Amino acid sequence: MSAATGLRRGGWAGWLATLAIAWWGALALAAEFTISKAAARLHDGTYVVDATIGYQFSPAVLEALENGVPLTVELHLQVRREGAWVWEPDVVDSRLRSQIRFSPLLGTYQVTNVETGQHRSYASRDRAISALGEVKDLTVVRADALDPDETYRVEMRATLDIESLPLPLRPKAYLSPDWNLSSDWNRWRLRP
Amino acid sequence: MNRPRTALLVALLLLVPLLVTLDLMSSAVQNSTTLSRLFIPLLLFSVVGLGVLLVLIVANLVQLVKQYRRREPGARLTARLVVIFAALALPPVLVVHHYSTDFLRHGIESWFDVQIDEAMEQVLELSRSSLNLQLRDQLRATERLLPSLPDAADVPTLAVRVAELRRQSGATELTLLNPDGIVIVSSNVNPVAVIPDVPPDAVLQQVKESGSYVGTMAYGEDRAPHVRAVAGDRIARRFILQGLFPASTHLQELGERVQDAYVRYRELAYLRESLMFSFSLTLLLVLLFSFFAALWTAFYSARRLVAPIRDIAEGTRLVAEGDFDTQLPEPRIQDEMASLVGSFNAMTRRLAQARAATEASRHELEAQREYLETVLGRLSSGVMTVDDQQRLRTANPAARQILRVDLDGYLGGPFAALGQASPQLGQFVETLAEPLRDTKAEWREEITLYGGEGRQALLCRVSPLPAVDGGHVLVFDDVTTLVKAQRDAAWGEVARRLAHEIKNPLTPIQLSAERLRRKFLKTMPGEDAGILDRATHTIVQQVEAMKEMVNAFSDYAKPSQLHRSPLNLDQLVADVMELYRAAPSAVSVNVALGDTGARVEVDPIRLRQVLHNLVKNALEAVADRPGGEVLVRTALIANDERPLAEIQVLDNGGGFDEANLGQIFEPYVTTKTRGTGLGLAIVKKIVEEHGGIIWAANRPEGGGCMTLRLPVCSIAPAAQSQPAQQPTPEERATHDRAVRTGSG
Repeated sequence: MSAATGLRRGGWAGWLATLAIAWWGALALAAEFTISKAAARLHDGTYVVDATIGYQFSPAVLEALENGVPLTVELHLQVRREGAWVWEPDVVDSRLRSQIRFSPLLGTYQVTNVETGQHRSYASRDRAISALGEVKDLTVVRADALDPDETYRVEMRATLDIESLPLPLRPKAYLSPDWNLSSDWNRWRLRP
Repeated sequence: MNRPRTALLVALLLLVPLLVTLDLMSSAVQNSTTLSRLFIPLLLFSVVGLGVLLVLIVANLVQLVKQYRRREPGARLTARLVVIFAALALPPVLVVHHYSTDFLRHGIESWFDVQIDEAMEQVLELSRSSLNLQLRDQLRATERLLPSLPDAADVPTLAVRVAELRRQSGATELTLLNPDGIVIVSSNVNPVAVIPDVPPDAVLQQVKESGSYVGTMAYGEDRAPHVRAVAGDRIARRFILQGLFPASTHLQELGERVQDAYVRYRELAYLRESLMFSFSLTLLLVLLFSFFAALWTAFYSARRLVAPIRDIAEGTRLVAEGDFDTQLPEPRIQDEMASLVGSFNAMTRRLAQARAATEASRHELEAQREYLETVLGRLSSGVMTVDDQQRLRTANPAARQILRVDLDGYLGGPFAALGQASPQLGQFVETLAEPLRDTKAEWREEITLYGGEGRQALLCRVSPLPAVDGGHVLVFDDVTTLVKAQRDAAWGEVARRLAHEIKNPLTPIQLSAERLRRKFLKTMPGEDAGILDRATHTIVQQVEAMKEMVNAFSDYAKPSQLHRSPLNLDQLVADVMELYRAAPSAVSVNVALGDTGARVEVDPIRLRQVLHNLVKNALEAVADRPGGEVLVRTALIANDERPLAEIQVLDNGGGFDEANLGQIFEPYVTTKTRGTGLGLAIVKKIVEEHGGIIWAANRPEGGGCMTLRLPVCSIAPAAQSQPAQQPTPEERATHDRAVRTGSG
């Protein structure tokens, strides 16, 4: 193989690597959701979580919402013993899914808890998004299920569920940073 | 498992799942809910599968390019087939892609139209208006109920009034709240429902701000659609009245359907580009799959098709290089190619058999040739063959030895060229030219060659060779020694007869002459007496001379009786030479003893005779020359088997006649006027009887040299031998003859 060929090949590999890094970087930077005021408290023998999630949807996502595309956000909650082995299962690994959609008939925005089916309508989009981000009394785990001598780590993360989008939108959503929306993992310790 | 079958299996393992995946993707795109969730994994799998297929094709392509450049058999055909397949597959794929994409775009675009857009908007607006109308009616009804409530009344009165109003208005639930949103009284169509539905804070806020609120909601256990109408009192008491009215189910359903249709339409309109992208992507993947599969099939088919041809090409190359053991693998499918391969294998088998037979016959011929060569090599007769063009073809070692020439340089050349090697060979070639030209007759003759090395007698036979090769075979023997031996034997016989026939009458003749002399000399007169005296004297003298001559012959002829004893050669030579040094003479006689310490087992009397003879000859050669000088010297000559003691007698006389040099040891060859001519013959006889050799040569500086060598039986420790000097050609020739004489 000549040196020129080697350079050419090296060039291709370099370009591909650069593109891949740029893409993943763009996806990583697109973390538009923020979790604040997340805290677990004991309520009636059960640990519940309150949190406020700021869903900063990109213009493309909002445009889709205005055009009748329902958006599903997923709140991923994990409780894990501190210092647990890799193969040790999580104490809690739950996903809470909520949906926001536009109702053109009344011009309202409907926020629905996907698990329970409960929904509420809001006259404005911002109010609906704000309501979507209000997590109150989210049941995590019963207190007696935890070992009082252990410390646990609670992790919470919010993502836009691309798989719930209409199929034609999904390939584009997977590839576009506009659609890869998620928060960072929000972690805190829980000592029973 | 062979390679093509493995390739086929791998391809099927790749192609079939890929095809299934693409089919599932196609179903997913068509909105199958279950598969829709698998769309992205299916897409990834397809892309990866196509990537693997592409890598396989590129690898095949790279390999093909390398084979093409190396000009491997079958590479061109494979390339051509691949190009044909690609050319056949690509246009349909491109056409399908173009028209499918076009059709998709137009199809999707045709769903969406400005008129449809407007119609959808208007339908929605209609529904919205209809719903609003209903809502406004319910709100107005609620607002109308407010004034009917007493200003200041106790709760039971209010409860009765509210219940009455509820019945009148047809509301499911009517609730009166104070300005803070606290329920004052409530009436429900269901008497067991004691907890009223309180309007949410946002509703209360809106009522406080704008005086009223109307909206839809699901109410009750059955989540039936209801209209929530909330009206605020504008007077001081600030009551808030909420009425929950059952919504018109039909209107509600119609509204929801319209909304669903509108949302679906808007969604589709929004997603048309994405939909187009998904369809196009799926289509592209399917077409790429088709094209790649066609390309791979092209490679696979070309390989399968070309494999036997490549095998045959490779096999032909091997056969051309001489490998006849090549057998090609026969194709499983019995077609023309299989028949060709079968024929090729049969051909190579026959070629191998033919070669084996040729090899065997060649070996046989080689063996015969070697046998013949060995036999010819061991023959003492010289054998040469000459072809019909008079070119020398073969010559055996004996021929080289007899003719004393290296014949290798003449092989293949004209036979006549041999004559230029030496005058002797010139005579040989000249004599044989005629018989060799005669193609039929057998020729046999003894020829004598004369040259610087003496006379050589050859008994030659020329026979024609079989007609296939033509030419002649020439067989000759060196009979010089034999002839000489015959001559020596004849001379011996002559000597014996002379001794017998001549010596016997001599004594009576001598006695008779002496008797005549004694009886008549005294009685005869003076002059007669003088005559008688001279005559008888002459008779007696001549008879004596004849007796000596006959004795010499007798000595030469009779077998010697040797009395051998080990002697120091130097001592012997010194003793003999002492006699000559003591005698006064004009000739200078010198002795140079080599202090060899060599002891030879000889008869001292005979060896002294030899020495005397040689020295006497040398003295006679320089007798009439001023400054004549005779030198006798000894040396020890190293030899392979045993060392030799050498005695040389040199003189500075006229030397030997070159013409007679080879014959001076034969009887009656002499240059002297006196003598029997047997001196050197007897010398040679004695030397040879002692196992030695003698030869004569002329010295380069003038004069003759006699050299005799005797085998040494032992050497005194102090002695040192000098390496054997290479004799001059003349010396060698004379020596050879001497040896031959001895052996004959």
